Amino acid sequence: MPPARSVALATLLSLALSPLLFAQGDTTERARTSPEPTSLDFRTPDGSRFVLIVDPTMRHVEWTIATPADPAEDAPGLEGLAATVATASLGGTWITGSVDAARERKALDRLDVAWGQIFATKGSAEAQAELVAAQTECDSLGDTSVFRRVLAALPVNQPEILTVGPTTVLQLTTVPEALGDVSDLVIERREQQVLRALPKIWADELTTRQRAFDADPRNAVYAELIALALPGNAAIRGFERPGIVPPRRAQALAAWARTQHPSRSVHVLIGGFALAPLRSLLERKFATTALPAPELEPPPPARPIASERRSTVPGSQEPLVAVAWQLPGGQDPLLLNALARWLGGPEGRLQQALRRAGRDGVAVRTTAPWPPALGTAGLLLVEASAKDTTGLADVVLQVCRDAARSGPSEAELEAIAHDLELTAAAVAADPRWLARSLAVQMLRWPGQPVRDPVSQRLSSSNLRALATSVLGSRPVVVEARR
Amino acid sequence: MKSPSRRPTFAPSSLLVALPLCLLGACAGSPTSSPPPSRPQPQTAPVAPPAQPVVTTAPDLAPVPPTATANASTGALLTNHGNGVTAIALPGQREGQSVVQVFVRAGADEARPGVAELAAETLVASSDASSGRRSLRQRVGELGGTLDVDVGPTGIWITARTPARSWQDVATAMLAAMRDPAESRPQIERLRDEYLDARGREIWSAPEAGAARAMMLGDAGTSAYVANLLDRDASEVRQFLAVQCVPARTILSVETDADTAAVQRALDALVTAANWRGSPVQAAAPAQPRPQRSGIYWAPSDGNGLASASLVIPVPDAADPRSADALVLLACLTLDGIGGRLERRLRERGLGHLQFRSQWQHAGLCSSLVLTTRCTPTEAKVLWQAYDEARQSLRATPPNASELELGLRRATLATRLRNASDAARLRERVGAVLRPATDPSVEQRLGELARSGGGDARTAIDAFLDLPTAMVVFGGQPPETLTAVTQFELLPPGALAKLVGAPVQAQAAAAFPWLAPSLEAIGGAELLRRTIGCRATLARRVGGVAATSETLEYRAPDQLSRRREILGSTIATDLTAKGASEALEATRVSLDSVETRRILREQARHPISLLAAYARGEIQFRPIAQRDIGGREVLVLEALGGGFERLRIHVDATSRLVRVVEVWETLESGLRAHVQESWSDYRSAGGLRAPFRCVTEIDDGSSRTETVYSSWEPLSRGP
Repeated sequence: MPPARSVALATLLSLALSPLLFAQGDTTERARTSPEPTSLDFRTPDGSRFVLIVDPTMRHVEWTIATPADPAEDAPGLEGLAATVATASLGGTWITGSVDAARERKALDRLDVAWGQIFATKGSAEAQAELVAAQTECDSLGDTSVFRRVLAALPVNQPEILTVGPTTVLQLTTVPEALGDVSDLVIERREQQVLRALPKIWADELTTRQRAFDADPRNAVYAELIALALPGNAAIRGFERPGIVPPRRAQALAAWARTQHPSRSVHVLIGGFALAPLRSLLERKFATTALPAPELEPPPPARPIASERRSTVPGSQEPLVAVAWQLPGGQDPLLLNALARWLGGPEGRLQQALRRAGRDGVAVRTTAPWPPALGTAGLLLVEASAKDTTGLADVVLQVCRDAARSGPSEAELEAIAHDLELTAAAVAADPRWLARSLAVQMLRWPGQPVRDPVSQRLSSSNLRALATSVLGSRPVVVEARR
Repeated sequence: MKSPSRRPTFAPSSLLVALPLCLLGACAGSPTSSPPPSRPQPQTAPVAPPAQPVVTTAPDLAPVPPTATANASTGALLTNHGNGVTAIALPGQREGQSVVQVFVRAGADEARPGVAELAAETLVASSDASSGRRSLRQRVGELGGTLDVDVGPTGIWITARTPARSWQDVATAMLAAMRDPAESRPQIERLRDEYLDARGREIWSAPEAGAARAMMLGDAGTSAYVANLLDRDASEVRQFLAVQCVPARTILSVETDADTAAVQRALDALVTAANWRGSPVQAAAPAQPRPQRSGIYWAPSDGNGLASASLVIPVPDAADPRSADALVLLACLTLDGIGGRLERRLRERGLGHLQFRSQWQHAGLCSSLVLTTRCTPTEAKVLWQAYDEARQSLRATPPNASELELGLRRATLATRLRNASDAARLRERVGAVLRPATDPSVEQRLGELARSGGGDARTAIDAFLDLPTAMVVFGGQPPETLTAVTQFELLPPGALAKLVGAPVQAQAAAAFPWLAPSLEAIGGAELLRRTIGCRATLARRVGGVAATSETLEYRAPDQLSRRREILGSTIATDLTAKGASEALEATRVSLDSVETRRILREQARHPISLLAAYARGEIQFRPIAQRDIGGREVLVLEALGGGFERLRIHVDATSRLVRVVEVWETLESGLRAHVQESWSDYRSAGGLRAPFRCVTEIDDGSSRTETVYSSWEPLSRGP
């Protein structure tokens, strides 16, 4: 899977849907105040966070489980490992897919050693022969298709692992009657994971990531931006070329345990089910875990930028000016998104002002928050590309300062809110998309308070205040030149 | 596998399709002509009216009062309006949300390939600049809703999901779109081009899905599908809209979170207010079902690398209870690509490593399961053989109880997913309203199968094996030993070039021989290169009446000074690189960037401006067509770049003068329109030959302005 550079826009915008789903309240359990609650947000005894949303028009259930896959989760040099183990997890468990679990454990250990020998001996013939023999033994003892087949028989439709921003999600579709059996398999996947075919999946992942890195000339600029604006933040590794050393099996299992611990997972279920019985079922099923509680270190705090920081990246295929400002923590992501939209886009403030300044051929893109990372407030990123970027950085900075002074007009705000609502409507129309968006959202911003409608969350005053605060701070500037 | 003579999936037993006509035919005030012969008659018994209907009259300007009926089992209220429209109000199922759907009982089978899809796109995407009506798609977006368009062999469904408060606005917009579809050729052609572009990109990114959809609509592959869309003329779309998209073939249904009786009253009032006049149902050409044919379809490519092979397996349509049996047997056969008999056969043939991605594709009531895998061309051949063997094994060894139990579980899920979208769900609900109570639904049939432990499905094996099935392969070369392969291209060559844009330089180079003589005819490339604007005096007439006179001075790319006299007042417009403003006497206002660019584009697309920009290399053209119209040969070229949207010039092949400039433009109202400027009266001016007369038409004549220049001189920069 390619490095997750930007969260799907819809993920952010799905916040707009939250008011439709949750009533006011700040406890861990929230329900509508109407006589018939249509949603629940609670934790099961094992620590998993569940969000249940009833949609009476659905006779099936969309179930999404989001877990972390941030670069911070991966050991240096093993970027993408959290995503890789998630992908490998559909290959089955010690219970489902193994001919003989004890023998398969030994065979997998043998395969692990054989891979190590390949690197240690630079692919000697002997090591290669051993690798083939170990792989053959593993193949004879484990079947990667059985778990999917059992899921299909429950029935489960389209089980898939996706990387969305700094998370991976397992998505599946089933019927309400099968939720008990599906729960059993979901727990079995978590607790009894084998990580079959890991070397092959890692190789595929690595190839994809390397190709994605090579194809995007902006990666060097992004890495430089993080180095300047968020020094020490692991997010930078998402923009560096992945290494080639494969993970040892122990490292992969540790990554699995660390990222899949129930306390770090968010389950969103949307469908036609009864809330109370389902909650009861889930609390019964998701009662304990044998995974060790992970020791988590918070990301290094972002130090305020006290002096001007500029950098130039030479040899780029694409002339580009990238400007970024640190964002204050605890901001409503919807507001940040609105800020980015107000500045960016074909008719955004920046584009209009650049046009007036005679910079017609400049393409502008703004993103906030950026980069996609867990536990980091992030940056407001403005990218301006043009054939000739001479002096462009200063023009962009001046335009941003001017924009901060005037702030958004009511008409601009109305257009942004309408745009956000439209996207939210599109997300809501697809329960699978909605479930994915909400799960990722809740994992990224677990402490966000209950949502108010878009119109209440967006006002010219709070957007102006944010714009003034952010754009009034010191930016970092990175220029990419040919 | 044999190719059935008809398409079971699209069998005319489709209740949802057949029943409305029966109801409508019985409706007083419906057209006097006999029901259109285009549809095969349903195999089921004629529709009985709902038991003990509650008949009411609603205020209506139509000559015959509407009749209303209640459907007790569904809670729906139905009104047959005098103009032929059937309106159905259904209880809402989702708080705060509503779903509004128009169903036109005419689909792809009712016209030449591609026409129904283009007609549907015209309904939702066309706007009317003269009346200010925005497109249905725009309107639904403004109201905070989403729009879904679904065209199948037997019908068109246009579905909007909106906040509950907006349903009346959406229904009004839908009725307006149905009543006043675009008729102008340029607009239909523009919509066709945009639709083609969107479809082409979809096929480019997901060819197997595109192929399945093409096959459900009766095309033999993606290339034929796109070629059919390309070949359609605007007149065919207009004809379809006039003949098929009429009140008597339309059902408007609303599901919303409100009292159903009140919704029915409001809905009836909207239908009445729409004043959509019922016209006699014209005799249409008989329906021409284009059944999917079994076999292998291969889009080859150079090299012998991996190919993408997709099994495309249709099931009976969503309203046909027999689809329950088929879904059970399909699960026994494939288990969604992860098991079943197919998986066993593949393992036996050494292809156990193939992994399939499954997806359902839909076109109206039709559905196909698409199982896609990556394999070598040789493996694709073996896959097809293994699939055939697995199918035939169902007859030789019918599924056992365990297989059937599993198949039932999957069929239940598949049935629910098939009706999961708002469009499909409302379609199913409307079908339940119109279906005779004696006819079983798919869910009911699944219940019957469950009671038999799935055993009843064994009786449907022969019918299941009669369903057409195909394998579509993209990439590689078909093995020589594989016979009876239908080869096709992913996209027609012209469409491919247009979509991927790879040969832009080549296309631009190809335009040079076409345009070089034009440069000479106008005054020579060197002079044109130095021409950066003009100074002119002109008068405009709208509808033959003098409207304005003006003087202007324009310097590319962004400077313009214009003085426009209107009714004794002077409007001064000044655009510079630093700002743009307009003044009427003492009042001066700033112009926004949209308006500024619109004014500048008007000057930039003057024939001399275009040719000068071309001479300087600022804009390029690619040849589109060489047309011969009534013995007059015209070269059509399209601009590449230059900030225009689909700008085309028509160059007279004899005089080499630019006669027509057409472009898609966003008007002051925000509407997009087709603007065509016809230039004539070329005279010598400042060493160039410049046109002194221009007729501007917007959207095929909805607005017509004549501009006559009394003076025009080029502005040049130094040598």
